[in-house]
Amino acid sequence: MSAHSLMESLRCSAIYRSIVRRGPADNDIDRSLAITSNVFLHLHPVKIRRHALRFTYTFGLGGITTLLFLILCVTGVLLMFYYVPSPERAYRSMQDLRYVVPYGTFLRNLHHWAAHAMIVTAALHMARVFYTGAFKGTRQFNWVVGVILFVLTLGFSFTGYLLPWDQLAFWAITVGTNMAAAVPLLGGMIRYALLGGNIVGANALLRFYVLHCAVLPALVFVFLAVHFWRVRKDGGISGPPLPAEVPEEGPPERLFATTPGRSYALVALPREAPAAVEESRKSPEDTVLTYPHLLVREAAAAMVVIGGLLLVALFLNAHLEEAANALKTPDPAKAPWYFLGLQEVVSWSTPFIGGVLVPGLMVLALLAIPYVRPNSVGVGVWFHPARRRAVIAFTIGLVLNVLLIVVGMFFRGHGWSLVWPWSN
Amino acid sequence: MDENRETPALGRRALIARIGWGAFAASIAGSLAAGVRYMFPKALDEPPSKFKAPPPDTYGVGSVYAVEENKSFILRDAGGVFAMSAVCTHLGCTVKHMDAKGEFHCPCHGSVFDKDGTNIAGPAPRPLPRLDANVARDGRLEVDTQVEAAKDYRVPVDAGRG
Ligand code: HEM
Ligand code: FES
Repeated sequence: MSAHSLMESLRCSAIYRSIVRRGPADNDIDRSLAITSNVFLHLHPVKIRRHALRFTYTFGLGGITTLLFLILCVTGVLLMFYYVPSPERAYRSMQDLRYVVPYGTFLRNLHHWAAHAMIVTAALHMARVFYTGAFKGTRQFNWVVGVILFVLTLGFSFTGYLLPWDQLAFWAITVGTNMAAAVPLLGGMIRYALLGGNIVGANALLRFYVLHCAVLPALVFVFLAVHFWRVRKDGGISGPPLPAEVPEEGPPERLFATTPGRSYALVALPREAPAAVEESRKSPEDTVLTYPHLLVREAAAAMVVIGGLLLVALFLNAHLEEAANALKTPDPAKAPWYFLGLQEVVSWSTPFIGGVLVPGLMVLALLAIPYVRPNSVGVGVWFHPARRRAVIAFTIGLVLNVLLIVVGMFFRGHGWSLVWPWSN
Repeated sequence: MDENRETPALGRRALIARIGWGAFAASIAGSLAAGVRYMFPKALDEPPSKFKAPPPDTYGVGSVYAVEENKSFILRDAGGVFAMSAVCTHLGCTVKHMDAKGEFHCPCHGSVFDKDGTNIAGPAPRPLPRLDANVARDGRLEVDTQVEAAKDYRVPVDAGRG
């Protein structure tokens, strides 16, 4: 029996049919059903605009970020089988992963690099949405959901960072929680509640662990669900305005009215009317079937990301510094790279300005973006010329952030003094 | 007033409904408050704030003695002995004593304190606090890291003798 005919007979079996209630997807009806009758795939509409398929429109960044999050959940749960959140054992679990657990280093590397990558892709996704004006019109609120997801992602990193209980972890959290303490009035209470006491000790480690492994994943799943749901309800992902609607005197008899702005017009098809399928293909929306067009692209992107991540995890080991030592601050003590811009600002200012005001205003500014001048100028076009000023303003913010991070990474030496990267 | 109305403004059913909703809201609010309070433990397993160090006359004039476990320094100058916190007043890293200059440097964001703990560079907003210190009955110096002392507080070196 060839593999092919084995697959065929499997497909015809009653059990397979009881799970997948449709024929082989060799016609548009079954291709539609492939989406609508599958609990996971029905996140997608049956048909999407052809424009939405363009890789250079989204670069697949939202999807890649989602994939990385799922990888983090799987690898994170695996790490939990060995990791013990107590000051006596946390660092030892990390050493166990490195030296005695089969493929422990590999799994930790996967989690570590996926976490770093997720920050990058989430930030790039946000930039893409900004530059294509994709937060305008009905999509205002989904931008807000996105900002919340980004903040939650940073929360993941902040809490995950403490878990290895090495020097880097300990001092980053010491500084981070002291920044929280600079919040006016409530600061001291916030710090006490975060740490479960006054020092970065056993209570703090346990709290961060619970936040990292239970609270934040639950929150992210909820907001992800809202994020995806809104994408559907807002008519699929954004694109340039549709060409003028079908003229009045156009074909008078249509089986289905085309509804511009909705990409899920075609949910079910009468089997006798394949013509209708052709018809809606020529609709002004210029739609194509999700299966296969979008799904193969998603699968391809996922394979590239997974392949790349595996390679990195095989050859680059996640850092582990000396065990946490509350008595000795390493010199220089640097935050993880994505917080280095903040560390830079904090190094010029009071904890309140650098630790509360600046990050707070940054988040507020992001949240305000869709509401400051609500209009639909330039939706669906990268760097639309009519949005020159907005594009320039956002780019300045982005470049400033990157510059500060670069300074923190390469130009800060002992005692946080300015140095040349090569003089260290 | 509405003449046709037969029931008073707050009828029996409406009253019961109101009490019901009120009780429900109160129980939810109470549970939430309990949940918040729950996050603030009353007793902590943290190191004591007091520690003992060698007697005052054991420090040479101008010396800086680091008590790492308690993140403190004990210093002696012409006027006597005093204890100073080693916790940076910026964001809580532990400062290092630079022997050459006699200054204290913070590795986290580059604050610099002079030999008295006065902040002279970097983002630190305040001097390193001077800590309450006394000579205990056994002649040793007892320092409390939770109690701040006056800026010029010193323990006289002959204190506790005789
Ligand atoms: C359900 C999801 C997750 C679970 C169960 C989980 C679990 C864990 C565990 C047990 C550790 C300790 C072992 C270690 O340090 O490698 C850890 C570390 C860490 N996690 Fe997660 N994690 C999850 C998602 C995430 C996400 C979404 C991010 C960030 C985007 C993240 C960022 C980190 C970081 C930065 C560390 C420190 C990694 C290191 O350097 O070792 N985690 N996580
Ligand atoms: S903690 Fe010392 S300079 Fe910031």
